[in-house]
Amino acid sequence: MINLFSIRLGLLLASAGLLLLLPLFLRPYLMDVMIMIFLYALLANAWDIIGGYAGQLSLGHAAFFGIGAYTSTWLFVNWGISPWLGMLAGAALAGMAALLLGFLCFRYGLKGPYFALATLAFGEVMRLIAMNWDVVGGSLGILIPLQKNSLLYFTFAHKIYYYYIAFLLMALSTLVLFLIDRSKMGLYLMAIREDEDAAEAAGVDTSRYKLAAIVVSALLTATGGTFYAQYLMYISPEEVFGVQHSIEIILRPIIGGSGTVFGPVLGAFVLGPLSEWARLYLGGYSGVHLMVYGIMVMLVVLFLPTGIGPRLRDLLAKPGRLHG
Amino acid sequence: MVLNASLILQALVNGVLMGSIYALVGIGLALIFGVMNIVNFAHGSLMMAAMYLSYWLFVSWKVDPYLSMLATIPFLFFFGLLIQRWLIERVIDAKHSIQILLTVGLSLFLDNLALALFTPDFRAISVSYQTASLVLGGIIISYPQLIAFLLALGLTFALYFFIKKTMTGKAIRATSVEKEGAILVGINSQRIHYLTFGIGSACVGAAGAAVLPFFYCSPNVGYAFVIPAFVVVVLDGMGNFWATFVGGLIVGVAESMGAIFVPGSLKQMVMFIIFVLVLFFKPRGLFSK
Amino acid sequence: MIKQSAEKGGIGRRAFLKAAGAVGLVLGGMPLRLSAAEPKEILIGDIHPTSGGNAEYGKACQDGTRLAVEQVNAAGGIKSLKGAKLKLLAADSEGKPEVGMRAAEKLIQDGVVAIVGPFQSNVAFATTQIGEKYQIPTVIDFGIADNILTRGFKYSFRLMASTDMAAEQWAAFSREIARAKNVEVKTVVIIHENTLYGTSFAKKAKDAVEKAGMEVLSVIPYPFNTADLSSEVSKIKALKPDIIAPISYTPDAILLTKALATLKVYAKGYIGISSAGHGSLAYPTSLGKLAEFNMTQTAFGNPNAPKYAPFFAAFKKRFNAPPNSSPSSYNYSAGLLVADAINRAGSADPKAIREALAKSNFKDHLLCGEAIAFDELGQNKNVVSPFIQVLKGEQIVVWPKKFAQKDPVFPMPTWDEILK
Repeated sequence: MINLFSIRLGLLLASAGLLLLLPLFLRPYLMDVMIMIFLYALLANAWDIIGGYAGQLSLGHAAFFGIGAYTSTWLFVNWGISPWLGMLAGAALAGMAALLLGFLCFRYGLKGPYFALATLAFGEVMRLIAMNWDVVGGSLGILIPLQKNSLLYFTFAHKIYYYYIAFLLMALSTLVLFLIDRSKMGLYLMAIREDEDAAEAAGVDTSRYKLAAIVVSALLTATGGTFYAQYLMYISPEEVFGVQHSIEIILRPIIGGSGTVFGPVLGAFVLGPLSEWARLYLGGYSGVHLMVYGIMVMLVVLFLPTGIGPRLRDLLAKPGRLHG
Repeated sequence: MVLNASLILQALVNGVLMGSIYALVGIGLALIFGVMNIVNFAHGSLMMAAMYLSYWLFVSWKVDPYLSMLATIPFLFFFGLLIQRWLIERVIDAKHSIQILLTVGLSLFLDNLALALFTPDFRAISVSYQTASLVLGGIIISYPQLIAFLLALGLTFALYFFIKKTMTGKAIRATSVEKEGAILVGINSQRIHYLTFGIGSACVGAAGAAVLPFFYCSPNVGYAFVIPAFVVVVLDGMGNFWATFVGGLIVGVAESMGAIFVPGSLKQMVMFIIFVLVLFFKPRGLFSK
Repeated sequence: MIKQSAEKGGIGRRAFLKAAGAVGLVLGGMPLRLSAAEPKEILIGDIHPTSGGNAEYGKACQDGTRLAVEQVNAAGGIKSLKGAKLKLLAADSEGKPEVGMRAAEKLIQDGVVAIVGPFQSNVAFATTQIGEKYQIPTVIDFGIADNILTRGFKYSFRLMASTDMAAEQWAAFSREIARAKNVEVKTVVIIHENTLYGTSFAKKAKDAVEKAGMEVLSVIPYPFNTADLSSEVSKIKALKPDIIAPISYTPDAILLTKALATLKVYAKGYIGISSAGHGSLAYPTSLGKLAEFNMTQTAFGNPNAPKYAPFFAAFKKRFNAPPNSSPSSYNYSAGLLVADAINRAGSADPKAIREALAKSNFKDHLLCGEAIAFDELGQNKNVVSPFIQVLKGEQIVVWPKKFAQKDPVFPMPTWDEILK
């Protein structure tokens, strides 16, 4: 029976299929644009778990990204460990950092702006550590020596492999979001977001769920860090840590629709091309596209608190058809 | 490392001078947070706007930065008022995350507007009394910084007086403590909010002009001051202006002492460590909302 | 009926020929690297940050390249390729490696045969990698990180002196000027901003200075976006070095000088080590008298070069503002160098251009140094980063003598004397 659900499923499968076939027709430049969209979609999805569903605004997510990037890169460059294992290690470390951060924050009752400030401080502290710690290269960062094409060492001569890996990461993180959305955890997180005290009163262990959310979020974000490191073959504190990067990460889920399954991905697909377009055609005017993003964030916050995604979906769901 | 008393004393003095600016910026932020429970992430951008205004006044008409405060303070007051009226007011009762995002978006917009309008060039001025200083027992106190300190002190005192002694001030306090109750006794909370955001912004209007002689102006200059301001706010929110002022001095001193004892670029860590410690361990009786 | 079918056939054939002609025109007009034999237009890429914090500098870089390309075309294009004209494709790196990488991909896809820039090391790591992959030569103007060139790449070249070269030149200058002016210089304090730029130079300079027999009393790093440098400057004051050697960007250079003056810190010399901030245009204009007598090593163009005066005038006319010496003269030189390499290669094939670049002995440039010639790593062997001093508000080259316009003032007068 044709209903809203199967239409949506069909659209999803069609887009996925399109994206999977696309690289066969793309030259490296556009493939690169897509890869970065996928990467940011992954980061957006990850952030959405704690920022969107749980409603705890993290302004320091670049910290987890950087931990992932630095861990796998350091292990690879110094001990020759495969970046795939490094990715797991990086995720584990980021998860532990998130556990610590989350535990401290939630145990001490840091909410709302205090939590945001704490994450901001966390992100900046990580950046300062990386800048000043010679073991991880200090301000020079780490340059990954060039390798031959190798799956084991996560290095490929052809971008297409990176494309599919990034796509996979995006798809997996979207799946995670979907599962959370449909699960009890998602329900509790949303309850916490809407009214934490009420949720607590209703018997929800708010600390535990918030902690779970931030840990899962950190795990996913860190994998993005490893991917980035292996794609660019160079990382430094300014590239992977820093408030600017954290802001870039949150722009996508916010504009696309925080607390939804496809909002973050939508945000990535909208902002990615927009950024590149601005770079190509507005080059002379510094920062105009960021200015536009600032306006978009404000507009979304004021008029579309659920983001563009859900609004679009509502518009597409024509009245008269079967209600889902 | 050559550590002697005069080095430490000089650092102390510099810390106090710089700290007074952090205090002034922090007081504005604390006022807004105390009354409306909103952390204004765009606070640094507002300071940047004040600095540009003061800069252009100096470059175009040779207006001394301290004199330019007569322009920057009212300009920022109205700017803040408008922001409250057009933006903040709409989310005054919304979730924290919404409010934070609004000011983050505003900050992104303002910083990049400045970038597009004024280019990323750093702009610094040189006033005739640039390096004039008071020398007390081997310790050098720079005049521009001393003037800034006295102005910050004076403004804090004026604000304190205003909040504690005037009717409007009392109304502000009432609104911050219990908004519903304040409305019940006839206080126009909307107007109070305009006033509060205006005054909070006016604080950075003053601070921006005050630092121009010894700092520089650029689209991202707000960051350098807003982080210390956050620390100040968290150290002591709107309990007591004087506590906030002292908080600013503490932050300033910690930074300058940090620079003496800790290898150069880690001095920023000192500030963050204080920030983090305070965030976790400072009791926040007033902010249980 | 016979007439009809003849007409039909005729129209059909004519239309077909017209269409084929149109397609041929379109195809012929497109720049194809494949027809490298005798191209009408040769594409050169330029990657620099034209947005974000370094936009002004990046734009100055691209304007330099732009002027070079325009002048080559005005003078008749590439002679050995029957006057083929150059076309500049300028791209923005936003100062980020991932964007730089994308920009390089796009430029190469669009058909550039060589790339000029970027000046930022982190971006250069990424773009040279792409250049190496597609075998498109890259001529970097600045880009100080050592390992840009030490990765065994064949397609990367750098114009500016390496950090090793610059550090040695700095140490040599300090000794020479001390001797020339009969002033004793034994101790140095290095104060530097703490990103890759400042840290790299600081490390190399410390070694070079110590090798030259002077003592480095302390190396003081600071975060470049700091609000206050008084504590760092107080430390310098307590150490009382003969020479203060900063490595700064522009805003911190300004803060540093103000703090040194305010805290009345005196040294015989205040000499930057390849300090971009102290060498920037904004430095003397923002500080007025306070900038006077400050010296710094910087990648300046050679004011005594025969081409310099015409370059200056042409740049001013074209862009309505005088050129910023470092970025514009270096990239202007890069543009001319690439044109020369293409000419010598007699081909628009990037591999041939690379060979020509590697064999360069290019004299027609604005750098301080002999002919541009690259060693086996791609480093320009003969370049010197000269020393400039702010004299009467202007940045004047004072050393080496060959490129100097005036004699340096050393030791520095006291702050009281400067401010009188």
